[in-house]
Amino acid sequence: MIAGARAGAEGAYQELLAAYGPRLYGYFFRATGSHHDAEDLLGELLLRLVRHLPAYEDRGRFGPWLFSIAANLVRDRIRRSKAAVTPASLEAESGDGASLAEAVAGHDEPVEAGLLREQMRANLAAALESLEERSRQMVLLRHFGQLSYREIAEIFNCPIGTVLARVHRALKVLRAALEDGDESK
Amino acid sequence: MNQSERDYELAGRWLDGEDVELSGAQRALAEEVAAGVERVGEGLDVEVPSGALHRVHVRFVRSRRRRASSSWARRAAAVAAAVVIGAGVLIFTLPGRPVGEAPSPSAFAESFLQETLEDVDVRADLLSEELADYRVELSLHQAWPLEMCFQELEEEMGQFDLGGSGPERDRAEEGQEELPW
Repeated sequence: MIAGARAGAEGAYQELLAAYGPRLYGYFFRATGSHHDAEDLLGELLLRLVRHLPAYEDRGRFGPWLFSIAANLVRDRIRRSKAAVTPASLEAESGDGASLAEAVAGHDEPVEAGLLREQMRANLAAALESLEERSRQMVLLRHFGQLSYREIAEIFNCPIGTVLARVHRALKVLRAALEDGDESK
Repeated sequence: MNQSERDYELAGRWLDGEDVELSGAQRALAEEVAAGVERVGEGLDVEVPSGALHRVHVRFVRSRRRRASSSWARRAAAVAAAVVIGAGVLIFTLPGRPVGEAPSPSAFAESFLQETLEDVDVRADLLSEELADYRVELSLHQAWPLEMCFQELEEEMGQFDLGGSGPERDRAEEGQEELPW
């Protein structure tokens, strides 16, 4: 797949998209809070791949390499249009792209359960928004990119202990938000 | 429980799969982080809207084809330019060439290249820069083009101050905050 993409085969890029697209999309959505931006950034990432793939040294860590490019794209996007980046909780979209009412109405589950689930998602998104930018990115890269703590430390140019300390603090905030949602059940 | 930087470092290396020895507290810290990542991760997952990946791929393919065709057009223009320059040089250097005042081959080549390549490139660059500027401006100010026109008119006229200090202007004056990352 990687060799095919290097050779410029369109089918190989489609395979890459199928393999990594959902996780990359999730990362972009959680980092920008917008489905439109997530789609746009995913397209931009593919175009960057065309440029960067020839320089990629295959050491069996293609995913983390891909996510380090994705992290750069997010950083650039935030720098360019910081005022326009809307955290997920302020968007009228839920994680699956529907409004709250659509999300609840569209599922075969009791309305109350749907509302609670959406409430929990909203709590989590608000907590994510409250985090400092670097901590948020570290948590997202760990979850979506499955990067090692050392790889995250390299991206942010800081010691591994600092990464884990930030992730630990961020997770406490996020877990508290999720548990608030659980209690309201 | 207060953890030191060293505790975090060792726990992080252990979570990365390194063979390090942890104290009881360090092990508890590492396990707490691992459980937290798993618990929070379930809530973070996002369902990709239907058709999104397909749209991304279609746009990607189109963009690549457009780039490839514009690259071919540039190459064709360069070859055509080389042929014309070569012909021009031959006309003025071969024995029996027309007598009288004739432009030097280098001047001929320069003017030809300017006409065919540079102008197109410069115009394309200007247009793309202008487009990028508008995109950034729109996203920063969240102002519609009509509002931007009013602002520009206002600035040009100078003597009228219709809007005072609106939110868009305030934002523009604040500038972009530099991220630490």
